[in-house]
Amino acid sequence: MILRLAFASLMARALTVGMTILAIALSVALFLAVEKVRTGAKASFADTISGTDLIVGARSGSVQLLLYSVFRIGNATNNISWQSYRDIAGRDEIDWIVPISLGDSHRQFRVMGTTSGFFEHYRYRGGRMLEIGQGHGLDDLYDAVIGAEVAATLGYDVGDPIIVSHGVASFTHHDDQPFRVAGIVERTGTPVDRTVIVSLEAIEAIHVDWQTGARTPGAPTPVDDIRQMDLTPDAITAALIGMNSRLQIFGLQRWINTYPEEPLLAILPGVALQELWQIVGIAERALIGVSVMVVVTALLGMMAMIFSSLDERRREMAIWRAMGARPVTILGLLVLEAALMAALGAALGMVILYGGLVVAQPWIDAAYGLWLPISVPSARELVVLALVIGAAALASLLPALRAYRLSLADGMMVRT
Amino acid sequence: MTRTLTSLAAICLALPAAAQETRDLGAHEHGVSTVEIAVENGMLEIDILSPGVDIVGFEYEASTPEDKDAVEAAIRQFLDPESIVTLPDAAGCRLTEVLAHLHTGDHDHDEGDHDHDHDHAEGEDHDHAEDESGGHSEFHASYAFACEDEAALTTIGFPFFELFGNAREIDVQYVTASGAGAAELASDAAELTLE
Repeated sequence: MILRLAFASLMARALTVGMTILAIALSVALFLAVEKVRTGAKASFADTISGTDLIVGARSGSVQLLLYSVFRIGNATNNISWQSYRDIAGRDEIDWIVPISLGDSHRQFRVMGTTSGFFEHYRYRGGRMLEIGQGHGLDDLYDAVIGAEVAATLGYDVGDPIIVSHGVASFTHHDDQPFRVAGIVERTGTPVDRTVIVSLEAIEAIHVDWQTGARTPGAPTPVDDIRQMDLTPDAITAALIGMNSRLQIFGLQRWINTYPEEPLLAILPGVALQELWQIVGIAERALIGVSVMVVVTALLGMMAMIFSSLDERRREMAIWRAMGARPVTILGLLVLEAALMAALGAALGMVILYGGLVVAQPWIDAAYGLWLPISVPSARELVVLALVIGAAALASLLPALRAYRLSLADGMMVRT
Repeated sequence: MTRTLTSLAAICLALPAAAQETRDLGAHEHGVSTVEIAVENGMLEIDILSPGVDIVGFEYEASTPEDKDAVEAAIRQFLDPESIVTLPDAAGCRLTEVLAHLHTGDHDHDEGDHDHDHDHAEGEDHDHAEDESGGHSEFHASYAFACEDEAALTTIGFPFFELFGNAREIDVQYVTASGAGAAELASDAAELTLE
C-alpha cells in the first residue's frame, strides 16, 4: 500500500525525480566503470604472461625488469652476457629457457630478437598459445613475425619488406639488411601485438657492421657473408624460464640472484606484478575516492531535491496527517521514496554500464589492449549497489525527520 | 616506538687468483623475515629466513653459554613446524622433511676490510659491541609436507609471531597452481590467504 503510494508520488513529480534518478544512475555507472577498468586492467596485465616461472635480467628492480621484458615499457639498464645465459640454461631444474633481445625498433614498434622457443612457450590469458594466423614462424635469418597491431597499423601483409631502425626512435636504419614479413600473430591483447619479432641471430646480423653504436665506414658486409658467420650473440636483454617443478623456483631464483660472475636478477612475474600494484595502489585509491565522491554528490543532490519538495508538499503532508496518518508513516513514505529513487538509479546505472560496455568493449580492446569482460555483476558490485540504496535512505532521513516534526502544523498554517 | 632496525651488511668475496674483487651488498632488515612457499602435486615446501635479532636478540657469534643455549633453543623451536606454521586440517598435511640452522654472516671475513654500517634506532637494548668482527646472522628453516588435499591449502597461519616477540613482519612469496604472489604479514595479521 505505502509502496504504491510512494511510487505514485514519485510518478507525480516525474521530471525532478527523473533527473535525480539520472544523476544517481550516472554516478553509479561511473563508480562501477572505474571498478571494471581497474580490475580489467589488473587482469589484463596478469593475463599478459602466464606459464613463465622466472624472468632473468640484469640486476635492477623487479618491477622494472618485468616492465621492460614483458610489457616493453622502459629500457633495460644492462644486458646479460651470453656466457651467464648458457650457465643458467645448463641448470637441470630448467624445462625451457627463451632469450629475448630488445633495443631496436621499427617505426613506433619495438623489435624483439628471440628464438622459435618463444612461440612454443609464451602463454597469455591463462595458458593460451600464440597463433600465427598468416604465414609461418621464423625460418630464415631475415624473417620477421609481426603482431596483429603492427600489421593493422602499418598495413603489412606477409611478404612485405621491413627495415629495422637502430635503437628506439632513431634515424639510423639497418637498410642494408631488409627483413621480410614471414608471419602475422593473431591478436592477443598483449604487448606481442605491438612487437616485431625476429631471430636472435638476426639482431646480431644487422649489427655486424656496427661498432660502439655507429656504423663502421666502408662497404657493408655482403649478406651472403653474414649468413656464413657465427651469429651467436654476446649478450641478451632478458630470458624467460619455465621450470620442471614449481618447488624449485625459489631455489633457482636464489642461485641466479647470488650468481657471483655477474649481477643478475630473477623474478617471479606474479610477485613483481603485485609489487607493481602496490605502487599503482595510491592512484587507484584516488580514482576510487573520486568516484565515491561523485556518488555522494548525487545523493546530496537527491537530499536537496527532497528538501525542496517538502515545501511544495506541505499541503499533501498535512492532508495525510489529517486523514490519520501517523508522523512515522510520513517519515516512512519519504525514506521509501528515496530508497526507490536510489534503487531505480542503481538499476539504470547498471543498464548504462553494461550498455556502454557492449558498445565500447571492442574499441577499448583494440585501442588500449584492455579486455573488459562482460559478466554477471559480482558480489562486490551488488554490495556497492546495496550501499548506495542504503546511503540514499539514510540521507533522506534528514528531510524526512523535518517532515516528521512539521507535517501537521506547517501544512495547516496559511502562509502569505 | 618501533625498534625496527635497518642495517646493511657488506659481504666481500675476494677472488684471490683473478686478483679481482667483487663487492656485493645484500639487504638485511631487522624485524622482517622472509618466507617462500611452493605447492605442487600435494607437495608443500616452506622456507623461512629470519634475522638473528628477531629470534634470539643478537647476531654476534654465540660465545657465552647463555647465548649458545638461546641459539639452540631457537633452532629447537624451528624444528617443531607446528609452532611456526599452521596448516588447515582439511589439507591433511604430513611433515616429510625439516631442517633448521643458523647462518652466520662472518665466514671468510678475515680480511677485515669490509664496511659495516649499523643504523641503530634509539632505545636499542641489545649489545652489539661484540659485533665488530661479525656480519649479520640469519636463522634458516625449511619444511616439506605431503598433503592429501592440495586444494584445501587456502590459509597458512604463522604462530611464529607469538614465539618471537622481535619479529614484526614476514614478507611472503608463494607459488601455487594458480600462480605466484606475494603478501606481507604482521603480528596482528598473521594469516596468509592463498587464492
